[in-house]
Amino acid sequence: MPATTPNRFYPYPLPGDPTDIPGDMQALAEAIDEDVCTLQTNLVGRPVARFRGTTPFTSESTARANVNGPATPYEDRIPWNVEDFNTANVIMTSPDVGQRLIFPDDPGFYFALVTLYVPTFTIAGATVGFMGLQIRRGDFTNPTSLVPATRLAGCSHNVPVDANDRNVRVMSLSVGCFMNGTTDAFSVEFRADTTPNTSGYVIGERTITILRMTES
Amino acid sequence: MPANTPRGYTYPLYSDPANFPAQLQDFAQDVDTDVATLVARQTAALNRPSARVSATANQNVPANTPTILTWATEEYDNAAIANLGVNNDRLTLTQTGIWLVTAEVNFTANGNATVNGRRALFAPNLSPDKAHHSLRGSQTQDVEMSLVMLYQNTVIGDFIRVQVLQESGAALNVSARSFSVTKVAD
Repeated sequence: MPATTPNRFYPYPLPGDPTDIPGDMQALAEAIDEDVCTLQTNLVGRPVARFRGTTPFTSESTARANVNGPATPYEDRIPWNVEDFNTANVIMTSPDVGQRLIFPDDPGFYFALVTLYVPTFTIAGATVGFMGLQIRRGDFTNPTSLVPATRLAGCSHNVPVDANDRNVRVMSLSVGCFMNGTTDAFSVEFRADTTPNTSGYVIGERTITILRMTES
Repeated sequence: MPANTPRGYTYPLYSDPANFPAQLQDFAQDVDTDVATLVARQTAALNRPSARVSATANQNVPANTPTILTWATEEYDNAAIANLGVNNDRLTLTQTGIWLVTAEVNFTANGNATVNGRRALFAPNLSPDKAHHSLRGSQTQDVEMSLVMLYQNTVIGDFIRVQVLQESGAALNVSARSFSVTKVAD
C-alpha cells in the first residue's frame, strides 16, 4: 500500500510493498507532472482590469451642490462602455441602467484608480465653482438602489473651470478597499456646482483601473 | 552516499546500497517540499499584505496647525497592519518592500470668508515629507482630497500617518476619511 508525501500527496512505495520500480517511478512522475502543470497554470500576473467611458455624459442639474446626496443613482453615476483589458474577472455591469457599475466577480482587496476629463464649461454666463468626484460601493445585485452606496473615496476642485484653469480639469482619485465578490461594485460619481445653476455638466473621457491585491 | 540536484532533490549513486522504496520516498519528499514552497510563494504573491481604515466622525483641525488624523474602523487587514486599539493614527508596515499607499480626506466648510488652502500629506514615521497634496479651500463647499504614493519601506515596524493642515483662519472639521496600504513588490 503506497504512502504519499505530506503536502503534495506524491505516491511512493513502502518497504513491504511488491517491488515495481517502473510502476512506482511512473506513478510518482505523473503525480509530479500533473502538480507542476497546475502550478504553472496558476502562475499568473497580478489580476488587473481597465475600463473607459468614451461617450459624453451629462451629470444632473447643478442645483444640488453636494455630491453626497443624489436622489437617484443615475444623477451622478458615470457610465462605462469600453473594456481595455481585463485579467481580473471584473464586469462592466447593469447595461439596463447604462453600465454604471464595475463589479469585481472575485472577492479581495482591490486598488482602484479613476481619472476623469472635464471639458471647459461652455454655458455662457455660468461659472463652475466646484467639482466633486467620488468612488462609492454600489450594489451589483440592485443597481438602481443607492443603498448601500457607501462612500469609499473622494476628491474635489474649488477653482473656476475656464480657459485659465491651467488644466485642473483632469481629476484623479484612488482607493484601496475590500470588495466581497457577491454584491460590491465600484460606482464612480461626479458632481459639479455652477453659478447660476444649469441643467447639467458634460464630462469627457474617464478611466477606472483596478488591481486585485488579495484573493479574499 | 546519495547526491542532490541543485534544487536539493536527493538521488542515489551507483555505489549506494539499493533501497528503492526509501530512495524514492526521499526523492518524493524533496520534490514535495520544494513544490510546496513554490505554491506558498505563489499564494503570497496573490495575497499581498493590505489594510484599510476609515472614520466618519468629525475630527477638529485648528487653523494653521499640522494635525495627524485618527481612524476608527478597521475595514480590512490581513497582516496586522492596523492596531487602532493601541495607535489609532497609523498603519504599521509589517514587511519591507514597496507599498502602495492611498488616503482621502473630506474637509468640511466652516463658512469663513478666508478660505486659503487645505493640505494633506503622508507622514512616514515622524517625518512629514512624502506625497503632499493641497487645494484651494471653499467657504461653503466641502473639500475632498485624494493622495497616493509608492513608498519603499526598509524597516519592519515603520509606520505611516496622514497629516492635514488648513489655513481658513478658524477651526474646521475633517469628516469622512480613509487610509489604505497594500504591498506591491518585495
